[in-house]
Amino acid sequence: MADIDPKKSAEKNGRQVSENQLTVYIDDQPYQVDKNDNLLAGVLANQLNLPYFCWHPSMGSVGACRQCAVTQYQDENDSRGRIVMACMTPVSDGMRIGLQEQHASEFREQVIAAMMTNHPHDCPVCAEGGECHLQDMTVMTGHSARHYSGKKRTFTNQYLGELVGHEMNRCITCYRCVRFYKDYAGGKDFDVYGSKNQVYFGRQTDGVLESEFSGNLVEVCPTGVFTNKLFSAHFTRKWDLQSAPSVCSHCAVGCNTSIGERYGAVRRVVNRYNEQLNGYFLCDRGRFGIGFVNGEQRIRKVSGIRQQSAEKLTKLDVAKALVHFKGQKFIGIGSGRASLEANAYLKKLVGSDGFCAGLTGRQMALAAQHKLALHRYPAPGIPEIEQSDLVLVIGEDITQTSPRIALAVRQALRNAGLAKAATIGIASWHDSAVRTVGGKLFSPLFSLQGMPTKLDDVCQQKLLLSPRETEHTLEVLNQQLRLLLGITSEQGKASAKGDISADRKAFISELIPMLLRAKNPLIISGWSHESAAVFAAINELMEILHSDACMGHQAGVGQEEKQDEATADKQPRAKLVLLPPQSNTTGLLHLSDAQTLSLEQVLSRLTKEQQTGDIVDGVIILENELPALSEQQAALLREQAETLIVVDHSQTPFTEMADILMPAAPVSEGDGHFVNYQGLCQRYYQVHASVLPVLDSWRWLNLIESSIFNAGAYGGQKPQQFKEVHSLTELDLYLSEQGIEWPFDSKELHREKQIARQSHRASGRTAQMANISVHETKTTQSPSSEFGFSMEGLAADAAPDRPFSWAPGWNSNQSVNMLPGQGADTSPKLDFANPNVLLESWPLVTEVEDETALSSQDKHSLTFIDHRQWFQNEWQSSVNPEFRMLCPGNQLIVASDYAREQSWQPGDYVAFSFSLPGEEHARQGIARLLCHDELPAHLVAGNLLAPGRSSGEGVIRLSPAQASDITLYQQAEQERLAQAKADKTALLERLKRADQTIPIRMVAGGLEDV
Amino acid sequence: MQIINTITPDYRSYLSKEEMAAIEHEASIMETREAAGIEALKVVQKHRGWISDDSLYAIAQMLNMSAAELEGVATFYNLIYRQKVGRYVIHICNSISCHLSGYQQVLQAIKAHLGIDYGQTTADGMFTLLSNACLGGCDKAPVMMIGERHYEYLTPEKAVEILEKIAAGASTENYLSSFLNEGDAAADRENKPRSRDYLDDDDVAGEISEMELSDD
Amino acid sequence: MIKAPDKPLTSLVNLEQPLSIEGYIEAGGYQGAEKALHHLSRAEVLTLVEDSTLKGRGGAGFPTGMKWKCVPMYEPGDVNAPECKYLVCNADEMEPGTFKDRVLLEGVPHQLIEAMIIAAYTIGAEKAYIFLRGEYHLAARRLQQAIDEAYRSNWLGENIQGTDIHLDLYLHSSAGRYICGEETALINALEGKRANPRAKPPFPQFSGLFGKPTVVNNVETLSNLPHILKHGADWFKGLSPDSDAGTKIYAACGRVKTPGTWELPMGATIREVLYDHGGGMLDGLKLKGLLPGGASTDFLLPEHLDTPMDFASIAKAGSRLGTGGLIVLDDHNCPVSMVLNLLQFFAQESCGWCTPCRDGTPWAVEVLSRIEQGQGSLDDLDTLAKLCDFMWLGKTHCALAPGAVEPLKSALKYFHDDFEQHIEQGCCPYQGGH
Repeated sequence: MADIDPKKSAEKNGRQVSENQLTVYIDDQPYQVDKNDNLLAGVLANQLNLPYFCWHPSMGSVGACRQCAVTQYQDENDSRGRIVMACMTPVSDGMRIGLQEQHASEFREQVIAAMMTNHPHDCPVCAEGGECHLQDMTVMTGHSARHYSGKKRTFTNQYLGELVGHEMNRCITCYRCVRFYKDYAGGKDFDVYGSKNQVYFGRQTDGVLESEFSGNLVEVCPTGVFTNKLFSAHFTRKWDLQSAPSVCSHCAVGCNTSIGERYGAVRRVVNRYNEQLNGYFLCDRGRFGIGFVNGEQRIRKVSGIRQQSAEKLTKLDVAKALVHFKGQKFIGIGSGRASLEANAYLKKLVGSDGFCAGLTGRQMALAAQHKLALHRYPAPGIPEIEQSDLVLVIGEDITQTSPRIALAVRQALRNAGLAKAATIGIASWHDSAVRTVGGKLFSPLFSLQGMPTKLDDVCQQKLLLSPRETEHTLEVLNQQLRLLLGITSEQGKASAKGDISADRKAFISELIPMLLRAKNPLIISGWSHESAAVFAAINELMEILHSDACMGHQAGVGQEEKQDEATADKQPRAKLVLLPPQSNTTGLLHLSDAQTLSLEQVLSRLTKEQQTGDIVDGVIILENELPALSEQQAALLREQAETLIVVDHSQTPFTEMADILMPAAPVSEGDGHFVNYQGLCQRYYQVHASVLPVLDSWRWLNLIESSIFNAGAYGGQKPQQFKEVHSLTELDLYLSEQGIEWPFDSKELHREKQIARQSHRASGRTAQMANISVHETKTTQSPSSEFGFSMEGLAADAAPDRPFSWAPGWNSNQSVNMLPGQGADTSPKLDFANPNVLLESWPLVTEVEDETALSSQDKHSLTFIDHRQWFQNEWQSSVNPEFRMLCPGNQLIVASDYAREQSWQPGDYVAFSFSLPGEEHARQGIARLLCHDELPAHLVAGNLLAPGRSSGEGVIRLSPAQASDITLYQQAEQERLAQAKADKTALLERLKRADQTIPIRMVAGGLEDV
Repeated sequence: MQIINTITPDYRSYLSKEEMAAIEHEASIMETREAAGIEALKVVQKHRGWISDDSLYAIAQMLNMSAAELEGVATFYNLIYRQKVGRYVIHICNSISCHLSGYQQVLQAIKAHLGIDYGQTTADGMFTLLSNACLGGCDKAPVMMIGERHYEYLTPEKAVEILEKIAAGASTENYLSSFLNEGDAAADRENKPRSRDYLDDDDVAGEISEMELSDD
Repeated sequence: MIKAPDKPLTSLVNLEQPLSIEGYIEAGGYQGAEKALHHLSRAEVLTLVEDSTLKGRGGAGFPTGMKWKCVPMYEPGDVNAPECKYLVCNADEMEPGTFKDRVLLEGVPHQLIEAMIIAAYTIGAEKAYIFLRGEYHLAARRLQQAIDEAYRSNWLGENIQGTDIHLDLYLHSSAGRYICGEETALINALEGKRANPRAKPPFPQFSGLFGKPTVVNNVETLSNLPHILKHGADWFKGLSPDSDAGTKIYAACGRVKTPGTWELPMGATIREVLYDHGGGMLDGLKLKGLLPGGASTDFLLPEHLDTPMDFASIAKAGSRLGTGGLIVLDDHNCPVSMVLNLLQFFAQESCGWCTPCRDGTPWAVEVLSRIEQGQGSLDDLDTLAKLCDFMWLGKTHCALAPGAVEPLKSALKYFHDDFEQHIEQGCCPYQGGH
């Protein structure tokens, strides 16, 4: 911070000194600031301290708190100046301001003093203490003595659910919470009430916050009004957390997180700023979903391996257990939630012809189309998504499957308002002014969905359709576009058949001109509909939008645009985002090739062998609960596989059946890469060493290879192709030598000095084990990364991936703004070469059998559309007691008209019977009924599927439920909720007990590593 | 996403035709539906005396806005009652001209006569006492407003007499028309006596908002 | 032609029974609108209003012509033209000690409607709202009746009086809160939102009601328009011997003999208003001080009695003309208690948006209460002085808190002895003053 050379400091920031920069004199020293920033952002970007509350880099300025007052001088001769709010002041070249000037400085102190008239003095018991923005700002302004002698205002708090705590007395009325929840994230159940100095933020009545972004309140609130209840329940101060940079393992967006641990238990997840991706915000699944790593369902012991010593498992034990499989043929089933390394290793182990990505044939066809799309149309990151001026969402409720993307879409829709504001000179950071000018003006969002979604309030046009109807609508759209643009149908593509309804016609005719006019149109879809045909239609739509004819047409539309702009417009504008279900599904796409098996093929090979003699001896299941398999299929797999080896971190149906079960490290205890929806290979780091025998999956695979595939490893000579790997770096190198298309060079480790995972204020390190031994233990070694399990080492910001965020004077997450080179993304990106290989083996199958199955329906057979909420649709997080408590039980949404016809009321219980494509046995049960006016009568949306299961288009029959069945169902529901509650209590008790006796490992490597 | 479930009543069965027509009219003269929110609250309050939670949900649904947002509006403005009030709400002006002219004595007399403090309602449900910022009758101070009528040049005795008259007259059906400043037809229509039935309905259906602002 | 009146605003006021549209027209009404719509272009009306030097009567004294001139005008068929523009009449009169607009609203509603037709025509607005404070029930009934009459007589609605000009005028009555008088807060209230003032820019002339160009004018300001149209700018300027043109509705309240409102030429002195019209202090009371233009203006003293009540002279004397309504403090009323009452009002009416106002005004109330109860200390006076600085112009989001500071700051200056006596004596020396 002593560095005041503006150019240098700007470069240090990793920002370019360009024509966007101008010079501002701050206390008579020149600084470079971005001309599009407001003064506050410019000051902070130069790492100068200036306190603030209501401003937020993503949410802009509203001028409510008045904390960032500075003195602005007219010129160098002006010695008095006037006070302005930095956040509300645009920067101009040569402007002069003072941060030190006494009047402004006193005013800033008084603002804190005024806030403190009501803020309680409860820092010792406040969960925010030690990372509180209000604490930091209070110290920064020098406010230290209380002058107000009146009573403090008090409020009643609300129950906001199991995730977010509420303590309104701490509120300093900065309005950030409501601006985030309602204005930024579109939440409907949170607002600001009252007036004067009795302004209250909360819900209309007590109740669970409905937004899937509610956890951001904890980070957005500058003090302790909103707290992370899960963190508070098993609390530790921020400075005592051991943290590592991580990547969210709960969907394919790959938001960057920082996971914090203490005494061997993970305590919380906070957002890790990445300006290319998640920015400042996470969804609640990402923030609160981590609980599974502490859960009872975790596998912490091996089974099927005889241990020599009662205390510990050795490599020899493993080798002995596996050695007799030498030379046998195994099929390996990979997983979208396992690391890229583990999947690649598995594929190497079993060979390309023995590798299954854990997907069904339907999903493989989808994957093939997806890979083609990724190859042709690089997917935009979140900042790019936010630049879109038209969004078309197809068949995926992104608000529930990949909420962070939906949040970005919501911001994109504001572009029309921002553009209007710009015409009268309002900058985009001036949030209140932009919202005043923009009002209800939104960029167009078109939506083709099977069910109503939370983006409907800002949707220009929507149709509620089944996947098959969606596919048909897209085909008509493509056909119309081709006609309009004079593009001949490629490959003699048949024109779309069948009549099109008036509403679909209207949708298409409204969409086409806007799509052609849009500068940055964006199409979003995902795997929920499980229809390769829909993806194929989207690929075709993209092809049309990227065709010369289309770009020529677009250039012609904007006639008033200048010539050079028109030329620049020749760049393809349309962007595509396809969202797979899991954190590393995209990694699986990368690894999939022509030989990759589907689950059906795995089953058929297992059963066929006996006749053909093509012997498959066993199956290795890597971190996969295989939700697409029915119980019968799972039983068949078990029956036919001579040996079943399962590597996983949590109990699944297969961990029960495994011959050999190996406990794997979940995201917080392991090292690896996840490939996000764009193909970004993002590294996650071990937060704390796992307790043996829990190991990274890839370490287990390495042991398996050494035993089964290289029996000579112990005793004999090590063959050339096998290498024992001790770190992720070695592994990445090893895999790249094995002819696997390894996407990136391993990162050079920062070896001179390790970077601390713990904060330099972490307390009690030498005392942590005092109950076991008074000798200070050796620090755990960290071979896979440059981060050390210690408070010693370089500061957290020495690496681009920061374990946690801290800057001098800034203990809260707002320290991100004060760190140079904030959030620059260095992750390598895959290019998805040769997509056709996969496409050839998984071509688009016309779903004739489905067609007949569906057309033979009687009028009581309806189309089932998957509609699960964010806490229900991802397997790992769905085991958390809090998420289970959020689950409303079986719910089915039907058309209001249909319900009336059946004389059913909202809230009634009905019996259902439904089956998915390819399923022989119908699933049956009881569900509660909700009604929706706009839903077509033939569609039923519901949450009946298991977490992790994607659906396609099922057939469902509804009938009146028997009273006795309803009673049984209600009882089961009550028991389910009671069980979740009991599990939560038990878990907390166990964790708190464990705090007293922490097991510590010295080296985070393989077995026997002490 | 407006999924109809069992918790929210359908406004079409909750609001009266008259209320809905008046609200629709207000919405029709504004660019957005929610712009009619304040008027809608006033319309329903005119009919039912106050805004219960169910009234709030019904209006919000009708204007296609969230109940939370409407609550934010309702709690901002002091002439919207989010708690049950008496049949007559006394707004006594406590601003500067009335202060200089001795409203304090008038206030004391009213409190003593009714046995209630600010924010309270008499046990018989007849009167609620509230303060009001300047009523614009500074030349005729002290001033209070009850219903739609302003009472000026108050003295403690005069104030009590007014309250007694209102209480006595409330039992007779036609009192309200003589209680108005002007007996014109339009005003009559707007001021039809509030039916106790509505209030009872609300009493059963709607609890007061969970949010409490305690201020002492 | 009727002789130009010297009290144009109030000459037709009848508080018992205002003129119907027929009566109003018979008395010369709607001639100003007639002239504007039939004989003058929009630019000509604007020039006339600019020439008249009419300044806003709502308190800030901003030249009306200049305000209108900022409204963007568009040629027919301009693609950038907004779908509509709005005119809003600010009838949210709620400044304590101010009751002048009420006279115009209750006494001559058609004058306001005529004025709004002229204003809407000039800025090209086809929709207009009267934002009336919720407590003015009588004004609401009379205005609505007048609006209905104007529609029936085609002074409102489509093709007004055979021209191609349309204007829909709606009455919106508020649900309370002083802050609605702030023009951008008023716009928020009209949009059905919480009435927090908006940040400026954007100014309402560019982006106001529903994001459309909007002009907000005070009742009294607007009411001058028919007369300016009818009699001209020079006549208007000639009404006042002063640099500020026209007449002003002055008022006086407090313990004076005949409190009320009087329309006088701009620049009448405080003495004229208080003694010639207000009758002076009640017997036995002496003038101790006064707020010249509502609750949010600085105190003036008896020595200022000969100050002309125009914008510049009152400013020179150290206060603001504001709304021109005198609030008179007598020598038997406690100045500390008066300031406490004023600050209570402002603390109560703060919208709660910005920190200095939301937390500063209650803090001042807390300190003043203690002083008034005789529990203050001399340090408290420093705290009050600091709070005055804390809430001053430029530091707050809108002008409410700086307005609250004005009487407090000037009272600390002029009545310092009274504050000290409270502290030294440990009680209010005025107790039992009534």
